[in-house]
Amino acid sequence: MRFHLDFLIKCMAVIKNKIKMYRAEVDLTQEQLAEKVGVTRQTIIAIEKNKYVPSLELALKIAKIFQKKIEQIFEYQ
Amino acid sequence: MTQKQFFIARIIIGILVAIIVAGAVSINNFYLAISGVLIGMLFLYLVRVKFSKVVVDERIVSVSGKASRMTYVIVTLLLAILSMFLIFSGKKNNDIAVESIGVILSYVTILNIAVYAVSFRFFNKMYGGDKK
Repeated sequence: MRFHLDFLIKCMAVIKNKIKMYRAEVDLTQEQLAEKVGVTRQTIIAIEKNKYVPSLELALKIAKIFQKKIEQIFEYQ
Repeated sequence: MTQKQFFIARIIIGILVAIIVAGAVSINNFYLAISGVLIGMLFLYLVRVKFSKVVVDERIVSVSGKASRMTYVIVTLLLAILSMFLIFSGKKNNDIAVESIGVILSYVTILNIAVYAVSFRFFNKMYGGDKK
């Protein structure tokens, strides 16, 4: 269980994203983005705060919305 | 329907179902209790259909998965310890009723582990795990 938590914290720390920046660029609210990619607003908030790492499918959907490459939005540090 | 209205509707349905079930139990009417629960489920389904926005997404599924795993570990461990305690205490004091409760709880623990093992195997197979 401890290992599991450590792994999660490690994941949260190394994958950063620029969703907030790109969202502001295209003038989208969290609610609108959530609706476009089919998740709740809470999930978008969690992703923006780097508290939740999205699945590959969701990350690809977000990249498609912003018309960017996935590595431009998500950065592995 | 807004998110707030959706949550209020869910709470109201929950309260109504609880009142119907409590009333049905107090007058010993099994069919009323069952129909109350079924009607409540139907209303919840209709409210969810009316509320077109996403309610459950991958984060919720992930969170519920972790919560389920933690619940499984805690409940199984507690049940195992409690059943062992009851069996030994029943044997020591020659109390057959306590010992029987302990045995029943230990079977419940085994059932819990068995259901977990079967569902784990099923989902492992579904997501391409090794067949061994």
